[in-house]
Amino acid sequence: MIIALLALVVLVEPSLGWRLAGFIYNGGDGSDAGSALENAALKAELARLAPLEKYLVSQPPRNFLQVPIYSRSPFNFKNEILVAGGESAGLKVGAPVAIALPGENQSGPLIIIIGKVLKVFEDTAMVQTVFDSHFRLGVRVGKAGAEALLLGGGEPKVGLIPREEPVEKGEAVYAAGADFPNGAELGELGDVNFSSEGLFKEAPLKLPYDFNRLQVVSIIIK
Amino acid sequence: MVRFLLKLAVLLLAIVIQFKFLSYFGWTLDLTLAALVAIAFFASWPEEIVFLSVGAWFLGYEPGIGWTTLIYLALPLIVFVGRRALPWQPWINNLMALAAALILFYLVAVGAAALVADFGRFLWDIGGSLVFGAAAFWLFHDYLKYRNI
Repeated sequence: MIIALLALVVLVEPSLGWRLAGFIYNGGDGSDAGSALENAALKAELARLAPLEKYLVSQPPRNFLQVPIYSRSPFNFKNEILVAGGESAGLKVGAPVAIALPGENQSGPLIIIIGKVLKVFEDTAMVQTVFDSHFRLGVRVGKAGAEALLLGGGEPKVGLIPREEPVEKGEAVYAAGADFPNGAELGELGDVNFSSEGLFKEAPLKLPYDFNRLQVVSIIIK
Repeated sequence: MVRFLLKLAVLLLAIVIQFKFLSYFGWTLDLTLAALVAIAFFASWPEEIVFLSVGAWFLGYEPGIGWTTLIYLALPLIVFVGRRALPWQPWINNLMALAAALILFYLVAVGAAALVADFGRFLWDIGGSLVFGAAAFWLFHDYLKYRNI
């Protein structure tokens, strides 16, 4: 009986598991350990709203869909997140996913690409982030626009930078793909070194956000 | 009932620590797998299904049960089914089974290239998970008895 009930819950209501996992991941109010599951989830939801403000802009660009993160992959090397937006919201595979940080001097939000849509379901979508070991994206570096490749992983890296290109630490890294908005940043270069075979330059990607604290993302819809 | 609750407590502790590690450090130890492999040596069939279901519920992160989660949970099930065939001392069987499960899971889930690129992190994962798995095994060994071994 218990087994049947468990199997039913796992298959029919996986979202309850996501909420519990999210509650553990984001940290709930320990003093409410004895309260009902629903009250605990509601309190956790309220506690999560405060940090959202940092990633919500009052007037996001028209083609941005701001969605909360439902769940995250609990495994190493496979950095995927499930977000609350799917086919019904017009999402497509390959759509860029970003966070929109408030820009300086009222110049509009600063768009930072964090990944792309990998799979689309009816009301949810799976996003592959730059921290996934299989993430790859063509990028440009700095004002000179040196072409390079972003290699995803626990510490994302910008590789295949031509030796002759005068790139420096601190230069901005931009997405360079037809599906990505022109000038959308991913971060900036860390210390530049030569690759192990000496043919190219490479550098770690320094990020202006804490991925572990993200709770809302923006999906760019064409 | 006490034995069941002890195993469940260890599994839930593993799940909580795994998520907290991920939240704070951006990477984690596969303690859930370590707990499930240790439990596999001490569980009955109904218990094994219950614990795998609990694991599926917490570790599932997409609609339905993704293939990654399925493989993650199939590995302790394989240990459960084949536990009588393992040739060494029980505590060595536990460690070897866990190490094999970890390596196999990540080879299938992300591929060898990803592991090589971040080999240090992978070693930390294996080391931490083996320590937890050994501790869980000895806890069960001292308070429970083996199932048909």
